[in-house]
Amino acid sequence: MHIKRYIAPTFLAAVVFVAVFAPWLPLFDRDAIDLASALQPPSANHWFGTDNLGRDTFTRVVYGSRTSLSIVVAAVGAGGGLGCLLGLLAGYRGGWFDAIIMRAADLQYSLPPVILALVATVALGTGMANLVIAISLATWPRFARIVRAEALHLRQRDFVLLAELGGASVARVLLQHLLPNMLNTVMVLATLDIGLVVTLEATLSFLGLGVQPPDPSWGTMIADGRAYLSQAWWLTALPGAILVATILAVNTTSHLLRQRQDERMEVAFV
Amino acid sequence: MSSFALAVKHLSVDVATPSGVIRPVDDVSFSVRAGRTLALVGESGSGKSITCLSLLRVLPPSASVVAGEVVFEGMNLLGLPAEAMSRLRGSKIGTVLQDPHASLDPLFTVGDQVREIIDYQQAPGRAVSRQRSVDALRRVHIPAPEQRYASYPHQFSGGMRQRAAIAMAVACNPSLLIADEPTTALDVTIRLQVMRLLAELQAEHRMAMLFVTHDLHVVRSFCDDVAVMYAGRIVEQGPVEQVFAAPAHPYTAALIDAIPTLAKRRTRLTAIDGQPPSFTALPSGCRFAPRCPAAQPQCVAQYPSWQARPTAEGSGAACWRATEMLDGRLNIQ
Amino acid sequence: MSAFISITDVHKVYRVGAGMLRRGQALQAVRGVSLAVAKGASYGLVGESGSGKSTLAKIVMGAERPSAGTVQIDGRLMDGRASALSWLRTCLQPVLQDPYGSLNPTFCVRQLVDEPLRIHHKGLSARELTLRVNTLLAQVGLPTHLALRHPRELSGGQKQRVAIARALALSPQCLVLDEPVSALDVSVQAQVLNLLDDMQAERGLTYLLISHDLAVVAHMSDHVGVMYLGALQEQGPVEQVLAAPRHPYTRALIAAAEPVRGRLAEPLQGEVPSPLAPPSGCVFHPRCPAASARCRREAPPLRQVAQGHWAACHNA
Repeated sequence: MHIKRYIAPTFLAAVVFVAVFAPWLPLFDRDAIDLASALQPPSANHWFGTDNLGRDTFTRVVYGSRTSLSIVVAAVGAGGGLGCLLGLLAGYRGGWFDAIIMRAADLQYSLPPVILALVATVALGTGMANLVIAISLATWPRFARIVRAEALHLRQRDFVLLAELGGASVARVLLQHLLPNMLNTVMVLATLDIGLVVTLEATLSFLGLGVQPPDPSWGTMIADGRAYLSQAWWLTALPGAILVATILAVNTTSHLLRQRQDERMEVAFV
Repeated sequence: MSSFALAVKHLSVDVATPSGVIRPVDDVSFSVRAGRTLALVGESGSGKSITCLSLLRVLPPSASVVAGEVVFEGMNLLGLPAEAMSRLRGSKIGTVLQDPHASLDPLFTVGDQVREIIDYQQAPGRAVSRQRSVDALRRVHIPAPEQRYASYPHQFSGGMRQRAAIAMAVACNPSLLIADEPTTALDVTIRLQVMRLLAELQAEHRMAMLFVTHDLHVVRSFCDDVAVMYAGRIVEQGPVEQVFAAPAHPYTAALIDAIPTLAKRRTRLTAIDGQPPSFTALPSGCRFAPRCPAAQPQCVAQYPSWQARPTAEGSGAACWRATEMLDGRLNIQ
Repeated sequence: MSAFISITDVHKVYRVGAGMLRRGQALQAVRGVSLAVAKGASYGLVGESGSGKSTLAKIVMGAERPSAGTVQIDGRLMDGRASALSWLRTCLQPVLQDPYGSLNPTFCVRQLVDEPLRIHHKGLSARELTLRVNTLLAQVGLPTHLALRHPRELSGGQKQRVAIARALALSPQCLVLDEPVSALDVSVQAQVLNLLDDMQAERGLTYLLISHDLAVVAHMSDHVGVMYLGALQEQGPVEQVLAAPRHPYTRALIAAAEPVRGRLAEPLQGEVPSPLAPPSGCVFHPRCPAASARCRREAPPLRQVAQGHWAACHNA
């Protein structure tokens, strides 16, 4: 029972560790073409096999995780940050500001995020920075809406009134009194968002609008492997499995974190 | 012993918490006579509400009764099959809770909620059950009960909602009414109306009543007997007049002194220093000893045995110095 | 004797159900209340829910603007300007009912107590802040080692002590206490009431106390005001009002505060009417055992019935 609890966080830590320290790990050369050993199945030498150009798939998955994870951190940070800020202001200020922000969010909500990000990348052009902007544009409304609802709720609490009566500035009320009290919710949203962002990045890269070759990313690898699905299943299946496992690990870890928080709260109760 | 409508004997309840198993109800015994009201008094966290929940067998899954029995009309409630227990609740045992907002379902009319209980318990047919629920509303003095039958809870004021909740509790003429802080959420003048209503219903049906409260004014003016709980145990029990006139336990004495009254203007209140112990770190001796002004080495070493009050049967206190308190030899002010 | 808080003919009207096109219904929460609290004295406002006592408290603490009438604090007119408000914040502090809701759960005790200092005295060094927080905690009877605890790790009484320490941080002259003990257990309630007594004696504080509990008001205050449906029904020195109440509502409150065994027979009939549709004439007449035709027609003004003792009743 207790050991089970550590599986997901450990896996996640391993993925991050490997991604960060990839250049110092004993891996193959990421881009070295070796047509002689193309499309080899998984073996002791090539754990995840090799692709059509004879490149080591495991090495490329590791380097792909560097790209994918940095996009995730940047996009969740940018989209989440923007959403939180707008949501906080909308919930706290109310009135016309709230109305405008929420209608904008509704508008975006009515379009699937993939379509939105797609349109944005087409308009902005490809490249890492544009990819992050496109993804954040698609994800901020989720943060804004839920943060606004929390802000509306928290605004009623006496401690917010006392802070206002004590002369606290708007920035102080928002950042010291409202935001820390919804950090739990924001964390959950962010972890749910990680899944969405990884999928979006993979989708956009799969469609050729995201990360450009020869840079590997999980999305591009799965897309490229598709052509060899009948001969070399490992080219899509193994990077795909890592993608799925990472998303699952993120969700499970966030769930565990939340549980711990709840337990700490509960002790005070009885 | 047949005069007891409810007798709780050596009841203990365990609750599993993340920081270990605690026992918020420990060896609790008391009894309620037919036609009389026993007040179960205690501060928050004293275990009085969990005691009530265990009598009704509606404990949350993390809690379980580990010892004791609850005898009601000759049956041990703790041993009854779930189906029989659910029949008893609502028919022979009525319940009124603190929050009248939460005890009524906002989606059904008040009358239908009363009728549902009568239908479930007695199934007398549609016309009869409707008539009986109108009668129940009339008995709790809801004006124009025929019209109010079709009102929804949100159309009622707080006091009216509590009346409707009482109507649900007494619809099937229970012989025992368990009231958990029924007046706490109400305004003072409404509180008096509800207390008067409960007294009236009790007199009509010779109901036994278990009245859980923290309000000593209510206890003094309204209840016959009182049992005082502290940190999961009953520390004193007895007839209200005697306990208030001469408390046998320092905790009871301190509680009585701590309430501000109109007469005690601008005098310093006798506060009890400190706070109740945590259930995860209970003192080995008397649980009140760390806060007690009269504590002796014996109090810290050993949990006090029950010292009977000679003037009333079944009453007394769990205090080593109870006889001194009663003789007036010990004055804790 | 100078008045520290002086409220003159204050009204507060809320619009209920107002939208972009609808004006909504007028809810008169406070109707024409005037009262004065002397420096260093305590004034207790008592009333049931819907009496407007909390709205009045919010107006005094600057959280709401009156729809009409004036509020003067220490001779200074509270006109809603930023300068008046920022002055108010250093001389008058609120303590609210719910110690759970009035403390930010993510702050530790030290942060809760030093926040007013950090806002108003920006120059203070970290050492000075710690010193001041420790002094305040000692004054309200909290051990210093609690400074790093969070509200959820404190008991109800400890939380209310933290709220009081925070309110005292800027050395105000006046505390507005909105039901300061009603969420606490009896034994803890006595501790907090005693603490408030001590603080008043030590610092010469002026108290405006709002409570539904007449016994608490009687214990703490010199003067009492009884509110019903937004208006003062009776006010005067506590001894006098308790000994010789002139308004039937005050009598009912006294009877309900300490009901006597076997005499539960005469509670007040009915309930507080909706402030959206207040009764004609005297607002109390539908529940009054002595109401006459005149009471239904004509609202009685608040008039002096004895030295410093006022009542709004035709029969007073």
